[in-house]
Parts: sequence; C-alpha cells; structure tokens
Amino acid sequence: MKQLILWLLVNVVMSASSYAADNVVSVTRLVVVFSQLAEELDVAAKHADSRVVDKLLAPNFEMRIGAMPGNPVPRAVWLRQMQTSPDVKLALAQMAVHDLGSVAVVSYLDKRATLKDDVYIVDVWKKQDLNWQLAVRYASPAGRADFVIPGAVLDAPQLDKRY
Amino acid sequence: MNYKLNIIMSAVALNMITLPVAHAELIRGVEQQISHQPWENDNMPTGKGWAVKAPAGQGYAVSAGRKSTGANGINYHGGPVMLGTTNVYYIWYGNWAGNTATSILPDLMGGLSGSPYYNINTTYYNASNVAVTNSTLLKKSVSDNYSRGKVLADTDVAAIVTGAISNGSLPVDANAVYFVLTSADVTETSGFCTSYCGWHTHGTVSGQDIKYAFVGNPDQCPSSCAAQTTSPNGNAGADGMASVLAHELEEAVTDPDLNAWYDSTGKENADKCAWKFGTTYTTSNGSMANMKLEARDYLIQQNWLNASGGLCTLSH
Repeated sequence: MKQLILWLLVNVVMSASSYAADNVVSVTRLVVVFSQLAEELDVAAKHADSRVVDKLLAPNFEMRIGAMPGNPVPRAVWLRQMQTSPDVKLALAQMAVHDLGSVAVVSYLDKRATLKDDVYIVDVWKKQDLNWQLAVRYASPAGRADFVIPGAVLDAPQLDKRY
Repeated sequence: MNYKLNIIMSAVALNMITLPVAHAELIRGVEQQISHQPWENDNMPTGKGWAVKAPAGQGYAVSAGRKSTGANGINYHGGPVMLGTTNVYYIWYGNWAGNTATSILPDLMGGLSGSPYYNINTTYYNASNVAVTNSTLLKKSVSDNYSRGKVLADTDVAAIVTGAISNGSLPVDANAVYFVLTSADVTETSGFCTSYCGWHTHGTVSGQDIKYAFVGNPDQCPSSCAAQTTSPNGNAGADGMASVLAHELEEAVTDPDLNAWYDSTGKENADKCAWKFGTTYTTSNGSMANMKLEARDYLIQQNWLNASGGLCTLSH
C-alpha cells in the first residue's frame, strides 16, 4: 500500500510539473569578449587587414579539420582561403569559453549563411601580454544527433531557457 | 512485492518518457548588436494567439503613441508580460552561511522597485497595451541544503523550484519569479561559467505557469561572471550576482514565457546590453559602481529602453 501511495505521489508530481524545452541565458563576459575577437579576426582575415590579423592571429597559427586531422592548414593558406568569400558575415552560436589562465578554449557553431551545414569550431586562444591571439583552430562538421560519439549523451533533457 | 515494485518503476519510466521532449538549444545572444537594424522585421500579433505579417512598409502599433515594431530595435511577439507588482522568491541553494550575499541581494530587490533603472521595463507592454509596472517585491526567501547535491543539471534547478513549492516552503505564484541562487561550491553543468552566468525560463507547476531563474555565484569563475574583484559591497560574488539577477528579472518580466519581447536575433532586452555598464563612479573602497539603490552602491548592467529608437541605458 505504501508503495502504491508513493507511486501516486510520484505520478502527481511528475504530471503537475512540465517544463518547456528550449531556454534564454545571460552570456558570460568572456563569451562577449571572444565573440567580438572572433568576429574581428574573421573580418580582418577576409579583407586582408594585416595589422589586425597580426594582432589577433599567432605567427604559427594552423587549422586542423576533422576530415584530415593529420594535415594542418597553414596560416598563409587559411588566410588565402578566407579571402575568397569576403562578404559573408560570421554567425556564431552556442559559444562556451573555458578560461585556463593564459589560455582560453573557445567552442562554438559557425552558422554563416553560405555554409551547407553548421561547422563546430574549437579555437585555442593564447594571451600575449594583454592581448589574445588565436593559436589553433579545430573544425569539423557539426554532425548529426544520431552520430554516436563515445561518452556523449544526446538525449539528456534540456530546458528551453534564456540567458 | 517485486511485482508491485515493477509496476512502480514502469510508471515512473513512463512518466519520464512523456516529459516534454528536449529540443536542441541555440544560444541566440552572442552577437553584440545595440542598435536597430533595418532588416529587423517581425510578425505582428493578432491577439488570437498567432501572428501575421505586417502590411508592406508598416510595422504594428498597439495603440496611438507607441512605436511600431522594430523601431526601437526590439520586437513584440504576442506573448504575455508580467503585470502589476512582480513578486520575487529567493531559494538560497547550498551553503550561504556567513555570506553577506544574503543581505546584499534582498536589499537589491528592495532598491530596484520604483527605481529609475527598473522603470526602463515600463516601456514594454502586452497585446492589450498594458505596460509593465515599476514595482517588484521580494516576498520570501528559503534555504535549500543541497537537496540535489552540488552538481546540478537544468532539470535539477527545475526540481528545486518544484520541491520548494510542493513542500509548502513557497507558494504557487504565477506572478512571480523564483530565483535559485547557488553557492560557490555548486556547479550547473549546462554551461554556468563557460556559456552563461544565469538563465530564466518557465514551466507548469500545479497547473500554474511558474517563472524561474538560475543565478550562480561568480566566485567560482570571476573572469567570466564578475565584473570586478573589488566590488561596491565588499563581496565580489554577490555583487556579480546582483547584475545577473537584475538581467534575468528584467527579461523574465518582459518575456516570461519566451514569446513576448526579443529582437530579430533572439536577444531579450537585457541581452542587448549585457556587460555594458554606462557611466560609472568610484566608491569608497575603490570599486566601480553605476547606481545607488537605497543605501547600497551596485554595478549593474544597462537595460534596453523600448523607446526613443532603443538604447542601452541606466534609467528612464
């Protein structure tokens, strides 16, 4: 009988509580900072603004992409490629910043309009004196929810929240 | 006995399955846009629960004297706003013993009500042209001694609110915002300190639309969620929370069900001014502040004024 009462209680509480599934949040100060840096670098790279590029992009920068992780894209090649589509505005989403002192690991989705699919990017920024420089970029297609990644839980409950 | 247990477990499992299906969340607040863009153009509400496109070249005006949609850089999407005095409930989660936050943040709520800063929210209104009131009241505070542990998921935050209501600690109040305020030893695994400093949402509890929010203690990540290490009230964590708390409150009041006021990029009023503090002054301990609410100085982010073309400001 006690278990039945427990079941009824659980049932009532669970039925009475339903939450929307999509939320709004207040972003961190570092999300604002690195969003602006990423956008500034993107614009400068596309327009060959060497003054800004040299300030924000490390001399030994490279990009590694999931399709060929063993063959990094060198700085000069990356810059050249960026200049092929100068009018496309970077569209960032779901940024997270891990502040590790003089290094910041920044992940986000690149949702710029010309892309067929979203690109998942991980940028490693290194602090040089008081400035941040992008040292390495890792990029891959954002993928699909049914693509199994070890350790990932894709069906965990999420609230629809606003920051 | 085992049979009964199986029935119970099956019922619980069934309930879990029938909970709302999760949707992938996109953070829509990372681009910094502080002025109206000409391409902003949203639907207009019909007052019937759906929206229609405004006639070409027109926005919608809810009454004479109001700016049409988009003119102030933020748009109305037909949902409710919170009217009258907005009640606030604090749930102090974790260990807050001896922490001056327990006086700084209640004082904040008292100071906000009727202030020129909170008055910015009165420029937001519902489909019947009824505006938000410059009034908020901290009705009650309760403590929660780690009922869900020190590592919280979003659903734990929801459960903390539900628990406080269901055990009678707090009333069911649809005209309120319930804040879960976590101590510095508590983590929120959906992105506190890396993506966000706080959030708000809503859900149904006992048949009522309950608005609630999470605000964590920035002592855990000062570089991400605190504006300064020396703060006006001598508690950098609490002073950091004050700004986030104000942010979430003004968003909850003007977009409680996530379907009222936000711009074409999804930013709510406070998102449009995140980490912008306007004119500051130096307090006696050398910290920066930008407003005095009753006896205390605070450094609180600006809010978006839904008038005069739209702007980030500290007063109206």
